[in-house]
Amino acid sequence: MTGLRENRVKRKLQAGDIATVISGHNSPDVIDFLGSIGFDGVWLEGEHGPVDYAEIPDMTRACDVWGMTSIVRINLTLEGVLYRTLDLGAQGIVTPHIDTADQARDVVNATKFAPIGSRGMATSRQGYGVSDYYAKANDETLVVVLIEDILAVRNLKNILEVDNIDVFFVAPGDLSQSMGFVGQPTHPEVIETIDNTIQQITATGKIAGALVNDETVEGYINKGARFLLNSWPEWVIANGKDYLGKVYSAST
Amino acid sequence: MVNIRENKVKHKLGRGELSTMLMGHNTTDMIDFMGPLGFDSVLLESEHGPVDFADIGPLTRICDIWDMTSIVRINFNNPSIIYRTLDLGAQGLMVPHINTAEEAEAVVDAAKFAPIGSRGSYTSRQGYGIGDYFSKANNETLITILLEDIIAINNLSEILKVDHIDAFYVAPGDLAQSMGYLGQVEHPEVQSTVDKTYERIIRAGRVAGGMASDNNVEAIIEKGVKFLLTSWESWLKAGGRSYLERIKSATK
Repeated sequence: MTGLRENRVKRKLQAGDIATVISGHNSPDVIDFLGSIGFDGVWLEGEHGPVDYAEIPDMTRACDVWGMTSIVRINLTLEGVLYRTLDLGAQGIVTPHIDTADQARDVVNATKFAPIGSRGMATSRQGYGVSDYYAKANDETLVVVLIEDILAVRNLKNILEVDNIDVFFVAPGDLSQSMGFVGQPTHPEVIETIDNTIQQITATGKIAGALVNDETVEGYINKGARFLLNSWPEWVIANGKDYLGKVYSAST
Repeated sequence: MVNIRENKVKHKLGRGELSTMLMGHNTTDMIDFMGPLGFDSVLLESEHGPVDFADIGPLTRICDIWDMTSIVRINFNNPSIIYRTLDLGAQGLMVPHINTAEEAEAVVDAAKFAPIGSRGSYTSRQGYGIGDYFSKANNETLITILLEDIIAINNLSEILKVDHIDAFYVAPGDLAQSMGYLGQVEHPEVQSTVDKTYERIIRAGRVAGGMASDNNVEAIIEKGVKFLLTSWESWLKAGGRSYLERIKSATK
């Protein structure tokens, strides 16, 4: 009998550590390649991106091979979408646009088996060979909600009272749009709202998540965010530009 | 009537200019994302990698969109593989382990229509809408061969006499192995063989190709190598490592 695979991001967060999650064009081979670098989790993009149900098993297996937590951002906070994503092998779920405590409770209800919720009964790929999957699954399922509308910020106090949510992730893009600053996620008013939101989350003893880059990561760590999402394509572009710069100057 | 798509790398090399080629996990989305960076071509890996015949259409179309030459490294110097690869939309070929002039001639024969060769008669995807594809295809088909065995170096004078090969790429990995230095591409004897091979190719008036990383790109250009291959994977890895290091020091 095998034990249920550990959820590295969840465990690190529970231990008070920082968890690093990496996003970028998802393919099983690229995820496999990311494995040796040392990230704790991989963000599989199914809200805006191409990750479909049929791809979840192969992509999450590539995460399993390296002990990275597979986290799927879904497109629609709907019971059927949530449990099917978990059944196919995701260790974690990110649900967009959670604006009320009721919506947050729905997420928990759909992702956790009884007695916490009423997740649809099926043994996930993660349960193969695990005898007491239903008793253990809740402990290894990461639930992340996106706080990304000004409405959610206004309802934050109530949302934060919902149990069994591992991370309250403050997403700047849609938040700025909902504040009337479309495409300006670094507008001072947006940044201030993000910072205040992170503060409110951590003040209640909950875990805050943030979108970071190489320049902002230290700042967000100091603000108390512990679920850190970065994106690898920027590194490729930055280094690629440097390389082409070298080629051009060496050839002129 | 439309014109046949230009082969950027072939024309740049033909004018004596440098040409850049990017390799790394091949997916359609990844190539699309790389498009605006400004590389001249993409290496589609099917000698060692996963690119199959069915993948060539979608992968080469992305290259077309961004005007990057699509170059497929094939697994086997065989006429059927060569013409099918071109028929599916590749603008260029990289053929491994060419050790004799006869082998090089076989590549040309399979990749070019009459009167140069006897490529299987069929209209490639690159020929859609083109009235006189068969008379124009040869001018837009890039042929590169890999010199990667010590026997190829011993036969170099004869190989360099074969016409219609656009670049002679010196591949250090297998070359080192064939010289008895498995995994030691930096070995002085391997390096001196590589450098001498570049010199001989250039002295014969042909185009030399080589692996050009961030560290050696200026040096290799200085040596006269025009066809430069690099991989984006090292950029991702470097970016990821330095990002994780920052987190480590920020949380110490």
